[in-house]
Amino acid sequence: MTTATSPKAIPTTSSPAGASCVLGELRGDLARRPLVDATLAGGLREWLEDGVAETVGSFYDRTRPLVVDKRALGTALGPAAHRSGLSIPLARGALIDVLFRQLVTTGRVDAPMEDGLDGLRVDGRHEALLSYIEALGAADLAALSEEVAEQARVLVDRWPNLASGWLPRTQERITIPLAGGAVVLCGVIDLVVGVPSSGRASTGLVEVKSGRRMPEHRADVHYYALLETLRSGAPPFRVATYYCATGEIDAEEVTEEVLIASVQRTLDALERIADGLARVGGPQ
Amino acid sequence: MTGTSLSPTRLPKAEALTEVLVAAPSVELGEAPDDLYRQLAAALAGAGSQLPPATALRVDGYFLRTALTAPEQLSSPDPFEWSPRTARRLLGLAAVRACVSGSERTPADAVEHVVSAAVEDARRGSQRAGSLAGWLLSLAGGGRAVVRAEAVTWATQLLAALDWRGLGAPPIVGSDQWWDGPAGCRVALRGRSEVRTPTRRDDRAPRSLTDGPTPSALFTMLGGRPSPVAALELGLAALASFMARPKEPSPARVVGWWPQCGRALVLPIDGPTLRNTADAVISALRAYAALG
Repeated sequence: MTTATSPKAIPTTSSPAGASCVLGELRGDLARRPLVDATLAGGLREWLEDGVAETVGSFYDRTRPLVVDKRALGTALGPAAHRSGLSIPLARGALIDVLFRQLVTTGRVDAPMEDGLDGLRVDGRHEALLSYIEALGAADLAALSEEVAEQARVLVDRWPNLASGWLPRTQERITIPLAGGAVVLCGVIDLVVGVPSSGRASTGLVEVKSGRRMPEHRADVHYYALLETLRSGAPPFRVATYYCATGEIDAEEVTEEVLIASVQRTLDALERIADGLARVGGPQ
Repeated sequence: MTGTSLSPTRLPKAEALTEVLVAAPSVELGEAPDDLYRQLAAALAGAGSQLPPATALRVDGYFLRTALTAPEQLSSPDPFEWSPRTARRLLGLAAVRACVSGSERTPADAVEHVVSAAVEDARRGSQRAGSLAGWLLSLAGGGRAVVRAEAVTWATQLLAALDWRGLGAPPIVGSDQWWDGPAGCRVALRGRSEVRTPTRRDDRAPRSLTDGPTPSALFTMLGGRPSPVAALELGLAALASFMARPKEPSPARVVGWWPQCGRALVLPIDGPTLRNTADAVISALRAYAALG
């Protein structure tokens, strides 16, 4: 079995970017936005369906679907640096996600730590993380607050104010059932911009990271590009990863090669997951 | 009871969804509406009388799906609380109405206006306790921003789902229907739909399909992916509409749209579909009653 890697094309990497530079990276070259190949999404889906049937087929259980997100893929393909359990980096990431959402929606962040905690509290699904943060020692809490404040400052300084006509929407959830719902590919995209496709690629996806740049981040956004293609029938024209610690953005066009590599990587991960299931005699 | 799936790859998707939504009716009720209404009302009221004493139930899509697929979850229901997820539809519908009427240009602008207006109402004390406006007023800036963000995402999905200029007449945005039953009935129906719009008249269709007022079509946007009983959930929207407006034509169809997975399901509505849905509601009530 080979593990697919991301295509060799290098993403556009900007040094710490100002707002206009970020806008340019998100917009890309308008003239290069491709026409949508009407058969592409269907072909990718069929390839995935065939692969799922070959790998996890014997473990089909629609009442307990195998849910696969970017973390599950990363863990299966290891050696993963994906975090597990509650930690300060996880708390920082959750707070920055909330602040990014706030900035995109309201155009301002007034009190980063307070706003971030308020955002986590109102959601009602972060009790464990909030308890973890509340239980931090004074030094750790101060360090976390300082780091969140610094990243929020970078965000406010360097993230552009997106025109509402770009239809920016945050935390957009995608759920792709395969094999009649026995396997579910899913993801939550930090930011989607652009109108739905009318025949030409028209949306852009942005993933926000509060940690340092990692090689697997490209595979993560490629996976999101695949999910968006399967959902909407049209690939996004652009995917980007924005690093709040530095204000850097990595952006690239979405090519057929990118999507094919992502399908292969997803199937490789599913094969490893199926191997793991076989060792323990099926889903537990 | 099954619906028809739309091709998931046809672009633009909004145009395809709108075409199928407003198309001329393809089936008719097939029986006298008054008789059908009386029979269904009697059956539902009868099922309600089998519920435990002093129990009254409102059957909505969530109840129907849960009772038919995992009834044990109904034995310990979560009390309702406002959250970004429970608030997004109300705020999003108001925002979409503003965009469709032309008073706002984008979902983000519209949601900002809707939330500001609600907070202002609550400040003036013109909202009842437990209201959405009161809850919004109680939130600090960070919390309110998440609520706005969630509503913008929801409203954008609904606005992007349809070609609004392709709807013949101004649609009703936010078109839920309630049926409370005759006096003493302990079962109420709630049918959820985001949009109600007239269907097109087809002059080539049989006269029985074109006589009288044009039937409406319902569009409902749901989260996640279609459940095994998705067609029944769509049928409930039509059943509640038919029971709530017995003097009007039954909806011609319900189109379900799951933006998270890009799936659409079309359910034409005729007499047997309404009867099947009512049977499913009665089965759901029995499953609930069996919990004790």
